[in-house]
Amino acid sequence: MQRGKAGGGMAQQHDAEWFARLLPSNEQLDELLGDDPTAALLGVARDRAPVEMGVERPPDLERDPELQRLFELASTAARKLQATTTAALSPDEVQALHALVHLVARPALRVRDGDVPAIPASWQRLEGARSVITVRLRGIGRLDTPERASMGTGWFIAPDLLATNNHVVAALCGISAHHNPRWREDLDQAAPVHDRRWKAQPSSRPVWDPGDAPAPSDAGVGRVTGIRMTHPQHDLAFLDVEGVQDSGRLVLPLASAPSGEPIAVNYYLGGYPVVTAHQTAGLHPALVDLLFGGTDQIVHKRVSPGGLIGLVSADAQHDASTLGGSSGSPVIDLTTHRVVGIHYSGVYGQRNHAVALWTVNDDAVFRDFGIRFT
Amino acid sequence: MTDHAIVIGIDDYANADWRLQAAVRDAVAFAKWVTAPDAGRATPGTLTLLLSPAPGRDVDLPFVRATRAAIADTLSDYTLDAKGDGADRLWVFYAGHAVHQAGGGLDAYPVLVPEDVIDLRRYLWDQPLELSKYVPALQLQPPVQQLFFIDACRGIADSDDAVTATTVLHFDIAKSDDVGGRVHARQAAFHATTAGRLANEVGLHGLFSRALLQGLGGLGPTLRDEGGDWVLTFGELARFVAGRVAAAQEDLRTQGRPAPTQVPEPSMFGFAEGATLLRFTPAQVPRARLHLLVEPGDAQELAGASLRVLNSLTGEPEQQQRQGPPLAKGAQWRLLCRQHRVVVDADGFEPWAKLVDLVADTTELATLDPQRVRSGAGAGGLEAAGTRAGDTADADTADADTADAATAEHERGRISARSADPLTLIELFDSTGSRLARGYGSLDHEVRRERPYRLRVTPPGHDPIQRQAYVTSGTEEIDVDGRVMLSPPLVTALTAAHISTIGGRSDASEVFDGWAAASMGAVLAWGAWAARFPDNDHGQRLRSLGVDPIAGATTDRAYVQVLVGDAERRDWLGQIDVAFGPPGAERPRGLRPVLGLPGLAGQWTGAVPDGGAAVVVAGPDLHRTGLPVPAVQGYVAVVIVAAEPGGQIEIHRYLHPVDPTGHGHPGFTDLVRHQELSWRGLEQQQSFLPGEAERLLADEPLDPLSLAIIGYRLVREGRADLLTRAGSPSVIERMLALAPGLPDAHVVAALAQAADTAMLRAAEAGTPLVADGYSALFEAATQRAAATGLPPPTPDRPLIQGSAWTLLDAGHDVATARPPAIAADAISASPWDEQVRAALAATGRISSPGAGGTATGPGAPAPGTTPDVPAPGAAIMATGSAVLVTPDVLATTEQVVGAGQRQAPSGGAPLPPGWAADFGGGRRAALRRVLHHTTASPGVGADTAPRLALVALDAPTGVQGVEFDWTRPRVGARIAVIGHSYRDPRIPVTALEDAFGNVPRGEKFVVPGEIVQVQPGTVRYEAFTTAGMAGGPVVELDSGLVIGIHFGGEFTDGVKYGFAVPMAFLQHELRPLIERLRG
Repeated sequence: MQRGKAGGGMAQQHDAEWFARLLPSNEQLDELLGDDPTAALLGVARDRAPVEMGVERPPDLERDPELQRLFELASTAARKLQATTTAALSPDEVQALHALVHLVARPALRVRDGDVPAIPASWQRLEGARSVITVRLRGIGRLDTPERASMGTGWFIAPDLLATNNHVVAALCGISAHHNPRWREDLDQAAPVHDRRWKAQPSSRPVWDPGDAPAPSDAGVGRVTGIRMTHPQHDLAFLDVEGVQDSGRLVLPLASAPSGEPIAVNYYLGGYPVVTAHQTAGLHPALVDLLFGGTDQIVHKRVSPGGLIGLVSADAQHDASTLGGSSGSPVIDLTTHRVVGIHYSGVYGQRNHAVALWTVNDDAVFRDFGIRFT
Repeated sequence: MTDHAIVIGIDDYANADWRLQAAVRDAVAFAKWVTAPDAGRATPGTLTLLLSPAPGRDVDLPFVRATRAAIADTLSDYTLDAKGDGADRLWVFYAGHAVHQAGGGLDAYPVLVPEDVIDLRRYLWDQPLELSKYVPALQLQPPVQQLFFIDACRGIADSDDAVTATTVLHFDIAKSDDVGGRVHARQAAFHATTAGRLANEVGLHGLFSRALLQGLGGLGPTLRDEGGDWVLTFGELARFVAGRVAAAQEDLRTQGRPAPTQVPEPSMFGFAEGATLLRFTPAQVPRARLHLLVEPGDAQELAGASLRVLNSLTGEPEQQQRQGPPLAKGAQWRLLCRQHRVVVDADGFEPWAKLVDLVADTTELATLDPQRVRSGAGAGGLEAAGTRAGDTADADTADADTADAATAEHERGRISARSADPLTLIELFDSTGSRLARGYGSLDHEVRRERPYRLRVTPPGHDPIQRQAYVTSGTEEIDVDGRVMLSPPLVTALTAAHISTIGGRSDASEVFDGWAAASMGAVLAWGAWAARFPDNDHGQRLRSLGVDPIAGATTDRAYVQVLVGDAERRDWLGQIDVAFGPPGAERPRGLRPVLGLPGLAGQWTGAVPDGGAAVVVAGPDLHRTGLPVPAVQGYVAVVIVAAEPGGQIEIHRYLHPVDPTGHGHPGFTDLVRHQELSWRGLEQQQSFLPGEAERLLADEPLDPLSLAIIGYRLVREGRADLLTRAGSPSVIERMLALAPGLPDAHVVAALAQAADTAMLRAAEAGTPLVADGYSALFEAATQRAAATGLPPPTPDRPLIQGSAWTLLDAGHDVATARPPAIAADAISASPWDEQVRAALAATGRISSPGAGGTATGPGAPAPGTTPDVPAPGAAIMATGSAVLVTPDVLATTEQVVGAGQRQAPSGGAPLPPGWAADFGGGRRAALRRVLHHTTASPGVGADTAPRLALVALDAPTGVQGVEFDWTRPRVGARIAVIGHSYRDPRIPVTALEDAFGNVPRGEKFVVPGEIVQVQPGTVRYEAFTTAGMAGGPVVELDSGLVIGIHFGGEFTDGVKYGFAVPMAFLQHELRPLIERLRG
């Protein structure tokens, strides 16, 4: 299902279930929306907008009749779903509920100055752990080509060693996983070639950049010097990186298991989703500005909280808001702040997928590189 | 018995520009809190809820509309009809707009603005709801405890009169007689912000109300264990709320949306700071979970964690809980919501410590560093360093954000700040608003790296300047001297008197060291001080300014000297009325010129009759104001009223000996500035630095007013014993001997010695000059009136109480709401810098062949921006402004030359016929082609900035191109934006009229302002820019150089901000190109 195309019966049914699962509980929703839901949502939007929109404050949101209408519709649709999770939703209601999801249920919160400044009240647990999250974010960076085109996300799994996806490595080697059905085989052939090239030619090396957004300065960035491993079964790869001072302090610890029943635990991802016009098609333009600062293709670091919705073998299905560019993001347990998975794909409005690392913790690759799960 | 409550919240104002979002929400939250079942406070029956919610907004409590009549009736029920009879407490909460009265202290009560006010000026003139009238009246009414929480001044719409058209108390204190009697109410008030400042609304709540409701709920403030219950005091609530508001503002600053400075101000009348405000049973007191994680994994097996509960006042640990080792899964505690200190130690690792403000479930991460080997005496290792596992007592003595013993070496840094002026006060604050250090002239303090700190710098004679400090490594050296602008006429006058002005400062000193940041008020104060010395003594050049030396003055009489100054020579001087005489019988007095300050200052001198007198001043921007003048034999009471650059009006007061040499004074010292510092220290409630008070008191001789000010400050600090015991004679004795006619001397004596007789003498001496003394005397008089059954002191005419430095305009935060724009033709006749006028001439209006259409394409504003281009569809041809870089090439923003077209022309593309630039005076040229579009990508946070365009004209204009400054602009720099201004739909017409004198119709304006934020691709300033100014130059006023090209703005809370692309950002791309164009 794509956003803005909710017309058919099946799609409607699917939308209703999807929203019903994502929206806060009745009690939480009552607390959040209070006696004036529209004003409450505008308040959340107003808090978020400056973070998303940089130096500008949003235009007078309260006087934007379209936003007013959207938020009124969102609150009535949410109440409708509170009554029955199979309620029929109009396309406009679906649209409005997407706004609600992005505002309060599954936000993708922009990181600024290494911090996450505009956490909605619905994610109070995120606020309470803000100081830990900011530490974790330091070890997460964008993986760029030498020309600084963003290809995905990578994070320190050990000193001078980054974890990411195979398909992100493929992209760094010029192989598109989206358009080339043989990309995995091609990567096996290309990896040794690029490994040698990156070692021999510093100018050809991809870049690891932990910045909040692209910046002209190279301060703090690392250079990928080689491909240490591409996993044969899972979409998981390790890259050698140099130039990051004291990278041991940036390592994200791995969890031997989630802190509770995997489905009941909250998680968050740190990564660099790319917001494109295609991905936000159908959303009200003012809302796209509010939520993402527009579809300007500038890649910003974001934190996306969510939960697991299924676990099939090593495939963890989650519902955090991710987009292209999130690939390689660590999935972090919100209680222990240890990594439980690595995100690799998703379909908006349905589910996202991550490798459940704790389920493969006896894999030789971890042992070989001295990586421990605690 | 039960409590009563009056709760008022106003969002929906009849004047649409004043509407608020969160005042009703806050009021409803307070109403629900105060009537919470089983809480033992008010009930729905004893609650009066006055609300003005937005139309269509549902409120689930019964309420009455908050009209003027309803609020007045409600308050009168309590002040006139004793409605609170039988109640324990009265709770009053107000959220909405209000106006602070001029001349009040920091904690002055404001004038409430009810929902039905449309014209603020008329309202203030007619029957304003002055809390300063109701609150004192309530002192004689039940119930015995009354608490006021005022979350007001939320971005009130501007009005020149709003801050001056109010009255404050005046009373004839000597008429109170003592005859026995009844108990008066104890009151405590908590204001969201100090007088003259704005309070902020963020998201769903006011900053103040959010913190207040957290505090009242026990979420955060330190509670005192009292017999099993937990007690919240008013003082602790105030400390907590102030800290939370400061932290919230710091958060806003880091988010790139700085809010006007807001400092909550508590005020007490008979209500002790340590008095119980609320009591929580163990079941009621809120708790939260603190989860502590420890890394690296190697440390977890060895680590133990200590939790120290600190007393927030003393910083001393009160309780300790310990967990581990090991701490493989971290440590968890369920704790009272308050401040805790967590310390983690593990063998082989450096200790780790942090202060945690627990208000909700919180997770903290302790990342331990391997221990380094210590040299020398440290060879004993951990034990020698006092950091044995489980023994971290040393760490408890350090401040939270100060780098203490538990801080790893690599986390430590220093902030070293200094000023050229040794009397500049420098203060360092952490992110919670706690002051870590302060000093005069310089400050050096150890801090933690990569944490935000704030420096507040107060040059003598000027308002504080805030700036951020951040240490990434080693020591951060900070030169805190911002340039202080002197007005050009004042510079000219000082130069003529051979008083040098250097770098925007004036070194008016002739014998004493150091720099002086000069304002008009300070220059007059120096002039008056120098006039007290003989011709052959020091201070001759200052005497040449011409302040009256009062020939024939004798030491057995008292004198008054009134000096009125106008730094910008705005014809203000001629419109000021000065009267003098016994209170109530003042007669007009004509001002004589101060010859050395022609057109800038006037003066009047006279003798003060026994029993004291009053000076009354009135004029434009200065409401009729009375200033008490004491009759102190042998002294000249100097009253200075100065209009400073920017329109701020200050009143200074000094007490100079008629003959300083006869008083054994060591000579023409820097006494004036020391007095000024004392006043400001008192006004800002600063405590003395260690040893500072002793040193000042040891300085001989100090004038009696300075001694009194020091006395008030010591009383406030609880150190009054220094006044009565130190020295022989004591300070009190010296002060009373010097000036028995100074009421403040008696009030200080009464406060220091708890002597009623001294207070009675003070009442006989007249009205104190200092706010603290005024309040103390007022309280004493009220108590005596209450005891005797007489009516309490009543206001009968305006009088400025207290502080010497009293802002009489709206203050810096709403400065741009005052007339900020200057028409170009007015500039040409003013002595502005040559380069500013050159930039003015080089700025023109761009017009397109079609009426202004909607900007589209790459040149269109990024989503959410509000470019300063005329509104689409406007019946004008103009699209914006531009500035010449050479006589035939101009620079502007892409959106200006892109307006009205489907797509902005690319580099090299010809423009269609009809595009033109008009520079005035018949200098007009057609736009030929776009030479270049900038390509540099905006940096972090600047992704909405547009590109710039260089456009060739078809013929030279005869006007030279401007000069650019390619260096990074500086926060705090004074700038001016030049451009053609039009009516702007984002800005209320009333605000436009105030700013420009009328709705602008395309005239060229110079709009002064100040840079508030600098980012790689954007510079942000407070300046009243409008549609049509995009593309115009931003000129740094100190250098006269163009530092950026203006492109957009926003109007928020009555303050207008503008944005520019800084030239520094485009230096590599544009500078070579422009130099090539210039040949």
